[in-house]
Amino acid sequence: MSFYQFALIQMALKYDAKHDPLGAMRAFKTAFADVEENPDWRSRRLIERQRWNPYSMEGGSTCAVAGDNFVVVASDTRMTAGEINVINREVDKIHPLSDNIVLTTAGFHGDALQMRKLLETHLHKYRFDYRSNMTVDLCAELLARNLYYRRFFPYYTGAILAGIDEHGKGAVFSYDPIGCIERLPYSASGAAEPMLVPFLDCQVGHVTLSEGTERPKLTLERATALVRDAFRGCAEREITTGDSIHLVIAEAGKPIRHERRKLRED
Amino acid sequence: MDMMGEDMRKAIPALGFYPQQEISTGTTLIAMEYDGGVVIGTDSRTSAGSFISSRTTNKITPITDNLSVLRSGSAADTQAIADIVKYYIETYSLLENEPVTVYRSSQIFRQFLYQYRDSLSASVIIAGWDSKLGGQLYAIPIGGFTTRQRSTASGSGSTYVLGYLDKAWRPNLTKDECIEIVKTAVGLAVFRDGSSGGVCRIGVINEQGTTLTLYRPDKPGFPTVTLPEAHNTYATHVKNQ
Amino acid sequence: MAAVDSFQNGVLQCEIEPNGFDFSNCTRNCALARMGAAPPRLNSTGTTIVAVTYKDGVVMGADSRATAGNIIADKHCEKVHYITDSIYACGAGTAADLDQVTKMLSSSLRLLELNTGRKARVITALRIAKQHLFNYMGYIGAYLLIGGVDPTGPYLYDVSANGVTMARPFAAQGSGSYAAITVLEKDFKIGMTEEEASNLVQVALHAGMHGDNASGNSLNLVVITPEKTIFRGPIVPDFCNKPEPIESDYKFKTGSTTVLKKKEIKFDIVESMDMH
Repeated sequence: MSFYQFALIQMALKYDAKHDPLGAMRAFKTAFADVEENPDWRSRRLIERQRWNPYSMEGGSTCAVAGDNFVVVASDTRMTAGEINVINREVDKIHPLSDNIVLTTAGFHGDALQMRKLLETHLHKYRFDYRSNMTVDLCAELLARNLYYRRFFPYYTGAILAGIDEHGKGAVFSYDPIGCIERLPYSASGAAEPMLVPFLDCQVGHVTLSEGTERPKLTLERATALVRDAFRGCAEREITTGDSIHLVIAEAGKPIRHERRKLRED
Repeated sequence: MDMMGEDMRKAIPALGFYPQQEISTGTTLIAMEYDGGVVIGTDSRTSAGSFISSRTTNKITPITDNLSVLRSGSAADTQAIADIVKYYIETYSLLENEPVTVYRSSQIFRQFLYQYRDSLSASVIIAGWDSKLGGQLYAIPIGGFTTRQRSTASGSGSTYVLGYLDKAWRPNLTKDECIEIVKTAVGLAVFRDGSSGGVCRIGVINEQGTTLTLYRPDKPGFPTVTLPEAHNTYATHVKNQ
Repeated sequence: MAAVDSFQNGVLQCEIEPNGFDFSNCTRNCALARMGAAPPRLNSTGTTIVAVTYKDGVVMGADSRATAGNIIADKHCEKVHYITDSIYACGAGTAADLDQVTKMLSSSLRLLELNTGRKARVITALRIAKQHLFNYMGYIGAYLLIGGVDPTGPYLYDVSANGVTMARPFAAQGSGSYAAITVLEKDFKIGMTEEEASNLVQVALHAGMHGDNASGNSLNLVVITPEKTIFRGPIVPDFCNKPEPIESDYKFKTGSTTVLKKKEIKFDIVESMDMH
């Protein structure tokens, strides 16, 4: 596409059909001429398809919910090749990094493992240097920096870091692949993220409830039950989520607990 | 034999259509003249990319009692062409009340393969017998160039056996000698060519008509190749197992 | 004005063009895409379909999941299509194309049956499907297993979107076919009984539904014998059941939703209709 054509297209985009139908028609004609000159299937697509791609996606979903003195992290255990073929039914996508920090990932499993190793190494070095465990806030910042360090060749993961902070409160940190970090009360990532997030918004965030309505307290029991139900629901409608739920529960002053539940296998 | 043939088509992103499979025209077709007829031989593999979509394909498509076509290239294209040409030849022989000669049949094939050479990916061998010229075979590669040949091979497996065929053919071959040569050639090609495989189908076309024989790799008679024992790749101090 | 002229010329050329396909709508779609309109997503049935011939008939089966991307669009869709009373087709590929192709097949064969006064043959269904699909050069994304019994015996054919056809003793298609075909290759025998054949089809479908994300939920079978055609299904295999039920109750109490605006409409019931 020449610069002139590009400028034409950019100009064309300004028109909207509702308020300026003639302008929209002109824009369409410009775009049509441009496609004839330079069709998608003749160059750009082919180049794109031939480009080296070092990433793969193994599907699956994960989420974390923070409570007053606990945090619940959950993930399914299916690993998928090319969205279609099941290649493993009992993969652990939740990685407890210390007594109070849990990492969970969706996306490219190779990068997830590399990321875990990186954080484990940093935590180990921190313990050696300072003779104390890293706090979850610090670890969260560390992960954000490590992700952004690879700004132009990112770890292709949707990571969530959860844990108990120095005040004994549950903490959930959510990331994008290049290190945008945010502390949230709950978060989800992976293939079923578009289904998990609205469910948690409704049941944990209570965004649909009117002002005066009574809100149930987020106990550990309620949080685990919600998370289990969320995955049961996702397994019904999302093809790369299934086989079993892996729950990791961190409570202030208690060791990390694991729980496993069956999900449908088809 | 390539089942998809989708490489011939352009992608249409607005339709969500992208060609899927890479080109693969894996086949072995062998044909040879002898005194009084022709012998034809093929493998039976059809692949779509790396998947073998059929391991028992019949690539010898009968057109009349004394004429068959060996197909390679896109399976869809060659099946369609064979159907159309068969229809033409049946019509001609009914109208004229005499069998269509092998030469004329090859020219009908040529017309289609040449006319649609830009949109087809098909190469065929026409093998048959008629009372005028006896056993004949015509090779039509992609593009439509048609030649009569004494012995010919086509498809990806042919590269491995062309030399063998050149050496093996001589005038006044008997039927049995010819069958043996064609069978060996298919065996050699299937052994070396990853895109050819399955069973070996041998056909004989002569005055009496067409006889087809099947040789399965799990039954006696299948052409096999025995290689000398390989050199040991272990280090010298490791005992030979 | 130049753009308008060349556009009109383009349209004229398309109209004058004596033969061949006209793909100018694809150009239009690309143009719309470049203007920012998202193309619609096609419902594709990532599928497992399996069919097996036995001593005197054919058993065909399919799973019942339809997907749009990674979302299950339909849990109980019917992938075994009616062609005639004794010919059925299992379909994989683009859902809309399959519906239309099988509708076309069943109507042309019914017409043929009425014209000839005989039952249609399976090979006829095959030939019509093949020629139709070859004409469209693979752009109609229909992959079919056509099976049935006619006065000359039981038949099973495999038809690909490009127009490739094959007669087979057993076949599997769709994204789950790799898993299913392994079962068929291992256990298929010539001259099985009806029970053996339908068991084999079920086991092959189980393999497809288990190992393939795009297949599952339940399976449907059709057994075609010279005398009659029997449907079985939906059958839900063990691994397709929810292992544990939902724990909590998600009913909202009355008044949970904020009322923003109220408006009362007065009306009399003049006529009513029961709707289901």
